[in-house]
Amino acid sequence: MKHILFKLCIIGGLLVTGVGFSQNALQDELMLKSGESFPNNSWRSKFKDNPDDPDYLATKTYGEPSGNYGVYLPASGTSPYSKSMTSIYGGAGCIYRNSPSGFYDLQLQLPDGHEIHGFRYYFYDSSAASSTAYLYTVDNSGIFSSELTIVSTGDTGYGSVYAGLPTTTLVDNYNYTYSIRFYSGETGGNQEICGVRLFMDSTP
Amino acid sequence: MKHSINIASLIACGVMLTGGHVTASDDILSKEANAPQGVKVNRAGNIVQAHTKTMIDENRPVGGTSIRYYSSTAAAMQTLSHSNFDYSGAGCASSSSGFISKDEAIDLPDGSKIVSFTLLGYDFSTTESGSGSLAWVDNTGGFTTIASASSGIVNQPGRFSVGDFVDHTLDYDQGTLVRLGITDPVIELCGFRIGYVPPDVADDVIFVNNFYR
Repeated sequence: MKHILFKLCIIGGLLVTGVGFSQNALQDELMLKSGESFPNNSWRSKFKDNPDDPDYLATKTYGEPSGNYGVYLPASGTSPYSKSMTSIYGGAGCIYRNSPSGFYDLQLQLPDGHEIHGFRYYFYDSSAASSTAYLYTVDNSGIFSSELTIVSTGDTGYGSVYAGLPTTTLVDNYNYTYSIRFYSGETGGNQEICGVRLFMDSTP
Repeated sequence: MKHSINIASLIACGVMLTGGHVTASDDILSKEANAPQGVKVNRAGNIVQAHTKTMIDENRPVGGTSIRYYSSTAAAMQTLSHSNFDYSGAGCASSSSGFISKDEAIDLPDGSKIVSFTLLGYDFSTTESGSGSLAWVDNTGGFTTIASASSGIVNQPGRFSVGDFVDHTLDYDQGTLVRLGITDPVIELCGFRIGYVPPDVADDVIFVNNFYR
């Protein structure tokens, strides 16, 4: 009897510990050891690329000097651009708004002369509101320009949308700074901002 | 339905903005957020006419020299231990009260030669200043300033651009960062620019007076 109770205690302890681990995504990720991952995390599997989108086939592999390539940037690396805007980590690089308003900027460092074809916006959208990702530039005289805007679509969960820039845009780091700006239209986890993948060309 | 509302909103904003009429109560943030794609907005929230749009020239000779540039927006930099930072439009950061600082880790290849450091911003004060430092830290706890720039205590008309030439080669044991400092709400810092020569070129050219020609 005592032996059975002991086993039950161990199982109970494991269950409690498991609940503790899953209290939030940040704690879960911090517990991972090198090489470990969450194989059942639905984050990536739900972000299905459309094979017809131009960024679906990247032609560059590591070590090749030319071709198209992607720059994948998670939203958790953003900076809220005022003290009144805060966010909560949602796991796998996603964040969601925790303040009455929510704008978050992500620094872009891209090679001079490369072309930005467009970018794919990754999000979680399960409400009537939406979130938005902007690619914006500011020139040396202080002129702000929204080069490309992508709004989350659907209300059923994870998704991604690709859009191309309307004009040929070569990276010019002397005259412009480049950033991604995220906006969430709603406070809470129904609108998560997960990241962007820029579609680039090293030899335009 | 939601998509239709978004499109309608964008069209509405587009009509409003392209018509040149922006209500006085709109702040710069909402103007930027609602600007239709491809439309440029100046600091007053006015639309910049299309003929000034310059990012469409695919023949522009960017990258024509061996000097490359690393440019960053202040709004996207990380604020250090302060809860009094604000956004002032066009990627610029300001303080709502007192002093703030912002950092960015600089991700350039070892062996690169940094040749310039430039600070961009607005200074409306005759007593306060905005400053930026390019620095490196090492694995012994050292913090060394490579270059610094300040708007000075004289107010500067329009947008200022201050900086200096630098002669510093990035080393394996050094972590490079840029730190911006704002001492008063009347100062806005908008970003910085680093000029550098990539390591394959830096190893193979002769620098005259510390500058590649």
